[in-house]
Amino acid sequence: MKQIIWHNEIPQRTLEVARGETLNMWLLCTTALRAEPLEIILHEQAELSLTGLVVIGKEDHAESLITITHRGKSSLSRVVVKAVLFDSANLKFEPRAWIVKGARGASTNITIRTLLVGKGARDTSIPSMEIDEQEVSARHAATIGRVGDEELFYLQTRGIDRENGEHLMISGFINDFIHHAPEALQSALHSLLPSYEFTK
Amino acid sequence: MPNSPQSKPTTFSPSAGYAAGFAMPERAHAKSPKGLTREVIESLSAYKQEPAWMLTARLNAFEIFKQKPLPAWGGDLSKIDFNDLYYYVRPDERVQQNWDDVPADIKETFDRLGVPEAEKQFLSGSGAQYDSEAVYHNIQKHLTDKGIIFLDTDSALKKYPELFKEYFVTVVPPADNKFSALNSAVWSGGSFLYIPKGVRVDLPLQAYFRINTERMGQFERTLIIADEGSYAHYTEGCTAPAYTTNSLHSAVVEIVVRRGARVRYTTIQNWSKNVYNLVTKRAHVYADGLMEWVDGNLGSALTMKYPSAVLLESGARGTVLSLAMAGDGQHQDSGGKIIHVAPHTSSMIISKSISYGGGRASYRGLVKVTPKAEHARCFVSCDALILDTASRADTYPTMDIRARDCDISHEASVSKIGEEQLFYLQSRGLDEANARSLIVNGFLEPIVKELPMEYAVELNRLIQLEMQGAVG
Repeated sequence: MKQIIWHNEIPQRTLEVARGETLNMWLLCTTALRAEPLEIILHEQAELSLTGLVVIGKEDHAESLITITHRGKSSLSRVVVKAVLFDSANLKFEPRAWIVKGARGASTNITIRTLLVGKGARDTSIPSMEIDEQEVSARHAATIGRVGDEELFYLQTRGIDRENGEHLMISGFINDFIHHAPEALQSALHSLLPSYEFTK
Repeated sequence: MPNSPQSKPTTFSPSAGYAAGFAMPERAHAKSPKGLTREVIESLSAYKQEPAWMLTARLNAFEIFKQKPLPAWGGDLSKIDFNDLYYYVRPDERVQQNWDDVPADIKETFDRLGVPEAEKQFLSGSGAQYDSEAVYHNIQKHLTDKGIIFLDTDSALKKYPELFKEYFVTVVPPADNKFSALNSAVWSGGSFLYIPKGVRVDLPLQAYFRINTERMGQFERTLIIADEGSYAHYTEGCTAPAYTTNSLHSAVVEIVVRRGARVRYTTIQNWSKNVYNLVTKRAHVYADGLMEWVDGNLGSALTMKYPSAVLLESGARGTVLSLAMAGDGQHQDSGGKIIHVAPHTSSMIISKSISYGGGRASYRGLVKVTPKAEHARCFVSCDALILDTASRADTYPTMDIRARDCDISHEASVSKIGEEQLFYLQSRGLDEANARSLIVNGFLEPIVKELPMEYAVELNRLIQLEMQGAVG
């Protein structure tokens, strides 16, 4: 099993996951970033797990186009990306799943969850799929929204003010990334949230 | 009407601006040349006896059309030769198709669907116009008693010029895209519908009920205005295949849904497989209004169509139900677009597509929430079924969200018919073809149940036919 950890960069244009190999990718973005397009090619029985977290604020703009090309039979990709956008931050994320003809048994599942915290935050999500093979499983899902008023009210009735309640909800939102992320990212993650302004 | 050498030639008044650019007739008629030129547009406008402002609008749109590029996305448009098309064929020179020339597969589908003889002739362009005159006049009286205006667009321009001018090209301007520019230059035919305040039309209004107009026109322009609190359901098309030698169909539909009004627009298109079907459909929705698009795409070589709703005031809602079936040699590139401009607006897009026999079905959609559209809510679901190894499905959804207080969700899946489901049905005595058609009907059921009964029944039969062809 290989592991790739990228923090505020996507330094390569192409990656290949060889036959039978597994690649775990961790992407953390905490600043402005206009990444070059990245293509990840999966060969037969290759597996890709890509977990990403974007936490940006001020007027930072983060942009990434990642294409996952399933060339081999029974190749597998799982992508989960979460984003928290403060202030007037702007995110444009385009994950593409291509299953080419012949990649029987391939499976792809892409999930994007975006939390808009800042009043000026903007998000453009474009998950796309091109499926040229019948015997596959291909899914994607995306949600974009803010911390719900009902959840905040629930916390307020338990004595937690709005500001702390929002902090709690955002922490919970990104907790599974923090919990599972490799050691190399932990110091960046621990100092993440207190540096941002929360909405009143 | 059949074209015959004995028919009287059509004459044009020089004062209407007809340019002497047409070829001199070999027979008694002058025949419109191929290709799109200023002269063709001028003669079209002169023949229709349009006001000067409409000719000016057409010519301006023509200039825009010449400048705009083809879209760099979507289906393959490279084979369209704009110079090899007739852009306007006058009704009196329209040549009826010979029944013998109608392709065999179209005739066979008619037979197997049980399409009545008169409809077969109409749909294949080989017979006299579908004559529903008595029914038409009864419907008309029923509508006009309520103050409803429902007639073809050409007549509406003449009879209700102020109302027409108030709304024409306000929802889809010529510069919107290359094909809206083309339509704005050469539009002909289509429906005009105005529903007064508070009036509900319980009877679905069909394009069939316009007689003596250019039905199945290449460049129909439809304009629907639903005044405050009104309701209408407009339907067009047919599940039975519609054969035409016109290879480009580029219609524009503009709908205005005023405060508290509701419009449902149902289309089932099944153009023959030589047709490029490139259509722009859009609605402007005002406070508490509701626009419902039900869009079925069964035919054509390539369809590019994304019914859309712009939610302009608080409480406005828009929904798109899109169904696409792509068989051998077909590419259905369809979906929907919702633009949330005002706060407290909501929308939904449900898309179901089936690819079989080498076909390609693509969902293409847009959800846009502008900065002032706080508390916007939108749900998008697109599911695709691929029935064999030769076929393909794509999804290209875009979510462009610029307001913080919103709730947007999207999900999509691409899959095949489950082996377990097939086995279960076969173990209950169904053969494979029937089992497949049952599963496909179930897959499409959320959309089919929204169709008028006759469409739903015919669609189920059509699916059964296609599934029988898709097996083995």
